[in-house]
Order: sequence, then C-alpha cells, then structure tokens
Amino acid sequence: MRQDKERVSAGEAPAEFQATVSRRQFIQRVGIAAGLVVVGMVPAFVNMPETVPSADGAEVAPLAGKINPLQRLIDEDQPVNYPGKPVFYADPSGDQKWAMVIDVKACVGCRKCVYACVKENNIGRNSGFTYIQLLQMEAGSVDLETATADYAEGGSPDHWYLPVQCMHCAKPTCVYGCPVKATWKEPDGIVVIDYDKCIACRNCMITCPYFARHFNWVEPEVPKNEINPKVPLEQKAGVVEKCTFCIQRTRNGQTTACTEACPVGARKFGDLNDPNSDVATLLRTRRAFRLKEELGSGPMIWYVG
Amino acid sequence: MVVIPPSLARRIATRLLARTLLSVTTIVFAVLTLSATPAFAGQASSGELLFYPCTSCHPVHLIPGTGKPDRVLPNGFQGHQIVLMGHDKLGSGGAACLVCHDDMTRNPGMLKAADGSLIDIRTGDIALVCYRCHSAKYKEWKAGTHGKHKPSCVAAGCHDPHTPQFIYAAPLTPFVGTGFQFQVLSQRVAFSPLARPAPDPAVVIPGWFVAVAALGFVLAAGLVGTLVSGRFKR
Amino acid sequence: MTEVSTTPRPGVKHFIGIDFDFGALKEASPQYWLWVALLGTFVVMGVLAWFTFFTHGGVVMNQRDGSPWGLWFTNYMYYVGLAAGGLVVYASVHLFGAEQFKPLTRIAVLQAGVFTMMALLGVITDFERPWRMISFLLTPNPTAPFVYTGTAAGLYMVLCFIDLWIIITGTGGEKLAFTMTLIALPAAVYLHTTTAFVLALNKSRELWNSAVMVPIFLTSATASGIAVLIIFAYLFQAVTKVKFKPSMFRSLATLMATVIIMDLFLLIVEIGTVFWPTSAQPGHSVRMIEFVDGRYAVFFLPVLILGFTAFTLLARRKTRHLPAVQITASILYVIAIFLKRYVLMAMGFSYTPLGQPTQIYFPSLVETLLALGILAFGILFITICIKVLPLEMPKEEHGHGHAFASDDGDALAEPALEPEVAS
Repeated sequence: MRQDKERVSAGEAPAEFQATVSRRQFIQRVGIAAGLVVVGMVPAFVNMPETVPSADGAEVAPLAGKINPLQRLIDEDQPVNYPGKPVFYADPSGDQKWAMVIDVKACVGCRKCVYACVKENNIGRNSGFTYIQLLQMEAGSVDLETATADYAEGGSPDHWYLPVQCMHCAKPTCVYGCPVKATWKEPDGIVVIDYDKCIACRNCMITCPYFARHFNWVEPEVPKNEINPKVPLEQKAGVVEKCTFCIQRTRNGQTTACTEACPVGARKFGDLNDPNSDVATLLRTRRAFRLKEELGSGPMIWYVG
Repeated sequence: MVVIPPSLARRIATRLLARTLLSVTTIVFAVLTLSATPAFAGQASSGELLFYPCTSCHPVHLIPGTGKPDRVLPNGFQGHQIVLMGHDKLGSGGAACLVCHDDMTRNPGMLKAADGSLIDIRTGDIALVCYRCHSAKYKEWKAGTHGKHKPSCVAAGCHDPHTPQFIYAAPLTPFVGTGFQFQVLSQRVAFSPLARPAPDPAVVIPGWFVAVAALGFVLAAGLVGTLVSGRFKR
Repeated sequence: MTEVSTTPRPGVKHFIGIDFDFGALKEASPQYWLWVALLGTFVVMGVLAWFTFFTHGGVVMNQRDGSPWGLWFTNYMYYVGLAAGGLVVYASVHLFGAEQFKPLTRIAVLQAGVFTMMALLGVITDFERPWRMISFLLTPNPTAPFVYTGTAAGLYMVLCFIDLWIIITGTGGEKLAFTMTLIALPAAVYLHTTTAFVLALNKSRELWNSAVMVPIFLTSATASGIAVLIIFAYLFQAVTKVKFKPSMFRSLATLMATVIIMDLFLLIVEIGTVFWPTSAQPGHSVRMIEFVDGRYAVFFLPVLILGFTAFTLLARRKTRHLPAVQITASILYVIAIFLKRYVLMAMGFSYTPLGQPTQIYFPSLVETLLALGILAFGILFITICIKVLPLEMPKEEHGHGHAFASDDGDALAEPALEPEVAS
C-alpha cells in the first residue's frame, strides 16, 4: 500500500495497474509474431496448385497436383473381415480399387453380358439364376418397383435398361451379416465367398439390398465343353455364390467378361486409383449415380446417363 | 490372207484390252464384294460397292449435281446411291455430301478436316472429320470412355458415316443384315434380346419319400382314430 | 435328496439327484402308448425327411432365391417365442411374487427348454453340412445378428435344463432359484430380442426394418407362451393326478388377455406408421398392403380374426374362469401366432430387393414333414417327461425338516387341505 502511494505520487500507476511489459518489449514481441506469420505463409504459396491446361486430347495428366476428387470413394473402400490369407486366385497385384461404371444411355438390354458371365463363371445352366440381372426401367424414374426383369423385347424406345449385379460395396451388408465370416472384402475391393466355409444359412442373401447373391439349390450343371477350369464348379453345390468381378481374370491383367461382351461399350471396368482408367475418367467428368445410395452401403458400380 | 489396216488393228486391240479389263474387273468386283474383307481403309460401312481397287488407277469423274459418271462405264455401271440418315440434316441434296467430302466429282475424293485441310479417305485419320461437330464425343472416345476402344469411329469402328445411328456389335461386316445392329438415340428399334435366363428349378421330391409319407399319414390317421374312439381308462 | 411326497416305487432310478420314474412308463395306459406311437410315426417321417434333404440337397425344399428362408425359420421364431413366454410366467413367481403360478414352475421351465431344443433342431436340420457349424465357434462375426441369436438359443437351452435340475433337486434352495430367475428372464428376453433383430436389422427388407419388430415379437411370444402353458397345464392335469387351482388358470388367462391387447396395440402402431401420408414409403406400404389385399391375405386375416376372438373370449370376466373358454382361446391364439410368424417371414420375401414380385412360398412335403417331425419329437420328449420326471411341485410338509429350505409349495392344494405354514 505504501509502495502504491509512493508510485501514485511519483506519477506512476499503482501496483495492480502497472504494465508488466515495457513498450520496447511489446514492439519486439509483435515484430517477432509478424515475422513468424510471414514465414509460415510461404509454404502455402509454394504449394499452390498449378493451373491445369485445358484438356484438348488425352495427353495431359488429368490431376496435375490437385486432390483426387475420387479419393473419398477410394478411402471408403477398405477390406472388411479380411482373413489375411490369399484366395484361390492370385493375390491383388497392386493397390487397385476395382470399380465399374455402366453407361445406361448406351445399354440396350441385349443381355449379352449376362450370357458371357454365365459362361465365364461356371454358373449352372439349371441353377435358375444369373449373376447379372437386367431391369427394364420406366422412363423418368429409377423406381425398381415399376421395373421388370422379364422383358422379351430389347431396345424399347420408352424404357431404359439397368444392369444390376453384386456391387462389391464399401460397407457390404452381406459381409456384416455372415455369421461365420465366410464372405469378406479383399484389399482390392472384391467381395469374395469361401465356398468351403459357407454354412448355407443364407443370411447374406437376406441382407443384400441388390439381390446379388444366389444359392445353389441344385447341383450346378455345366456342359463339359463349356466348363471354365479357372473357376470352381463342384464346390458350389449347396453354397452361396455371386459376381466376383471375374477375379480369375482381373487379377491377371484382363477385364471382366461382361465388360468384354458388351457390344456397345456400355460397361467400363477399372481401377479407381489409376487416374487414367476409364472408370476414374468417367466418374470425374460425367454425372454418375449409384443404386440405392441412401442405404449407405457404398456400392462400387456407378451408372452414368 | 486378210490384211488388217493398222487403225483397225489398234481398235481391235483396244477393244480386246477393254474386254479383258472388263472381265478382270468383274471378277475382281465379284471376289471383293462377296468376300467383303472389312479392314480396307476408306470402305463405306454401309457396304456400298467397292470400286477403290480399280479406280485407284482408273479414276472415274462424276458430273456435279447428278453424281453420274462423266463417261460411259463398262458393263453399264451407272454409279451408286448413298443414303444419308441423320447426316442428311447437314444440307439439302448434294450439299450434305460436301460438308465432309471435298469434291464429289472426284472419286474417291478427300475429306475436310476442322482446320480446312484435306484428309485422304484411304490413309488419313477419318476421326478428325467427325471431330468437327462431335468434339465432346471425340474426346470421350480418345479417353476410352465412349464405346469399346476401337481404333476409329468409322471404318473398323462402330459407326457408319452416312447412317451414323447404326452401330455394329459383331466383327465388322458390310451392312447386309448380319450380326447385332442397334439403332440408338432417338429412334430405338425394338429387337429380340437374348432370352431371360432360366427360372427357379422345380421342387424335386424322391418318389420313395412320397410313398413313405403317404403310409405314415395313413398310419397316423389310424392311430388318431383309435385314440379318439377307443374307450381307455386312465 | 429324494422326494418325500411319494413312496419309493419299483422302476425308479436315481440319477443326478432326480428320481427318474421309469416304472410309471411300464404302468402307462394303452392310450399313452398309442399317443407315443403316433408321435413316433411323425418322428420317423421327420428323420426320413432329413435324410432326403441330405441326399438331394436344397431342391427338395420350396425355398428359392426369392424366399431363401422357409418353414424352419418360422419354427425357430415361433418356438423361441413359446419358450420365452413360458419363462415369463415362471419368472413372475419370484420376481413379482405371483405365488399362484408356483405349481407351474417345473412345467414352465421344461416347456422352455424343450421348445428351445426344437427351435435349434429346426436350424440344424436346415444346414446341408451341419459339421461346418464349428465355424460359429472358430470365426464368429460380431456384426451378425445370427451369431447372437444362435449362441443365445444354445446357452438358453442349457440354462433351462440346468434350471429344471436345480428346481427338482432343490439345490441351493430359494436363493439359487431366485438367482436363476434373475438370469433366465433376461436371457429369455435377450434370446427373443436377438431373434427379432435377425429380421429387423436388414435395411434391404423394408417390411422388417422397423424398431417395433422387437416389442411385437416379445409380446406375441409372451402371450403365445402363456397360451401353450395353459394348454400344457390342462393336459398335465388330465393325464396325472395333479390338480391345479382354478384361480391359477384364471390369473394366467387374465395375464394372457393383457399381453394380447398389448400385442394388437403394437400391430396397430406399426400399421399406422406405415400408411400415414407423411410417413408412407412405397416399399414398406406396398408390402404391408399385401397382408390384407394380396397373396398372403388368406394367411394374415386369420391372424387378426383368431387373435381378436381369443381376446374377446378372455375379455368377459364372467366366462373367463371356464376351462373351455381358456383352452379355446389358447388354441386359437397359438394358431394365430404361428400364422403371424409365417406370414411375416413370407411377406418379407414377397418382393426381391430389386422390386420384382416372387412366387408365393408354401412349404414342400419334405419341409412340412421335417417340421412335424421336430414338433413330434418335442412333444414326445415332454410326454415321456410327464411320466418319468417329477414335475408336480411337492406338497408343503409341515414339521418335517426336509432338505429343501426353500419350498413353500402351497400349489397342490386340494380344497380340503390348505395349510399355510407360517415360517
């Protein structure tokens, strides 16, 4: 108190109002802070995205320093319940993330993909199912309830055609629902089934929103000269099977049988991680939608119109 | 001994040569038309008659306006008619042809590129002609997202330049009605797709089981009857 | 630890603390053996049906891709429900002090155990390769509702049989019985909840994807379980010398009526939410409307009719005490709930997830006989247990310090004998 009084009489503020920092110190500190801010901004200017030259032909690197707009989709597509051991076919050769884009403007509903798939994958000719289903959709709507799979006439001008198969979802409900982990999602995105482990409870068929999984109620019969030796046949009796993105082909550098068979080039199959692949180009440049997207299962087949 | 004057001999020789040429031409025509090898640069996908093999050495000029040859061709050949569908909107009458072809009177002629230069119909990149109007589709095709990675829009590709709505599904053959042909865009034509795959397999119950089951039901009915009707004390 | 109420008879084998009265079987009436033979016939046909399924595979069943689950799953839901329901009665004895249900304790627990066993048999007989079930133990998937319900059913069955043993032998006295109730009732609720989750946790099946599935399952299960218990108790009374108090049946009937109306209320809530204009989504409502207006109406309308009839039968106080009324209502309700389970499952499959209608599902001959065989097996088990096991609660013996510290069995009261023993 006495010190305060002394200070006040000396023209200075009392102790509690004394500044703890002198003017010089204040200016020094502000100067340092400003310097730090300026130095910190330099990396931002250094990493500014280069302007991408306008695409005129295909010679330009499509991303050129930008963030890949498909990265969110790629990151969502992680392995689920992967047991870590390889399947019957080759291991994934790189870090591919397989996806498919189907151009529904081009699809005319000819069903050539359906038949090519049946031949390639040893689907029993008597089994009563195919991996791929074609739905004839009414104009102006994606409502599946008004669609029909039984159409006898293709190329109808008043309808459009939607091929549906296993979507190899990022969050596959079938994998979540299998009680014994007989089905899982591989690191490259393909959802596979272990035919030796499946207990045939058919829970996966119930949970799949796309009716993509099918059960072998009868033993599959394939004519001897049409059996594909790269795909199992006898082991499929009494277990569930589905589209595997032709794992026996795609892991060996080929494309899927349905993509090859489509006469109008409506199907594109490829790697989302490769910015030059057809699927990545289409997803970046066209307006795409997924079936039943609101369910949140993250299907890996897109449709462009 | 007959003496042939030199002028007559010349005429006879010319006529002989012409007739030989004609036979050869006819045979060549016949062979090429019937064998129809597709990968000939400049072949019109709509399958019109081939005359490049001959006219590469013996050019034929067409009268402007009528499209008829300016001199009498062997065997009464009058020339061909090319039907335009879709691309007929490019102009009326012969003007539509001149949008892509530089000179209809000169066969086989050259095609016009976007910058005005001419492209040889037999050896040049015909896709650059399509690029003039369909630049977006051209870029998509180049990126691989349109169609099936074919090396060209037309010839050895999918589209007929005169009736571009026609798409070829099978390995390219002249348009004689073989293979899948689709008309896309506004004028879809119905076709018969491959049949819908087999329905669910029928239920199969072995005969012996049905017989056993029938016996069992009869037995059960008998037991129930006995139980119900019999007077048993507890 | 023998039962003191009956004198030891020849043919009684003492094993794990219980008197198994095989002599009673020898003395059984011809009617009893006819009944056993009838059940045995169906059991044999069921075994042959299973054999057919093993040799021919899934083609003998009427299940196809459009409706991959069939009668076996209906039975699973149904029997699990009946098991859970009976246990509610048993639990209420200890938890809510509902002493009037005490005489039914052993019967209720036996019912629970046997019906769960029948449910599990239904599941096992559907697997083409049952030995692969080992994967359930080796690599179970924690996100699969099926794992939870399967393990719950197995554990619950074991629990019920252990509980039955505890009650009969009196081990641990009142305390252990109470503890077992504390475990058994939540286990029953858990089992039936996970069963409902197998259906409800499917975003692809709009008809089932509703939270109200769980309470509807629980109420249907409780009500039908009580109904079966009523039927079982009357049969038990008819077949043995035991007599139950009419007031006990009346309490059961009242309880059942209450739960039935709760069940119907929840059903109305579900229907209302589906069809109200602000909440109607085509997928769910399209499927629901088929309950009354489609291929499955012939199965669903009886559910409503039988259910309401059962309720109205029991609603009238004046007639509620009549055995005829109680038995009729119980039978009607038992049938109604079976049809409800069946039509719920079949309706969920009426459209594929891609919106395409499927064939109507009706079980094939093999499926039907397999299911009947399992039912016959269960009833046969109970039939033999009625004779062999001491299922009646012992009479209260005043003054004899016997080994049970627990039992106040006032259950077997004949009207002339009403000693309420003050401890």
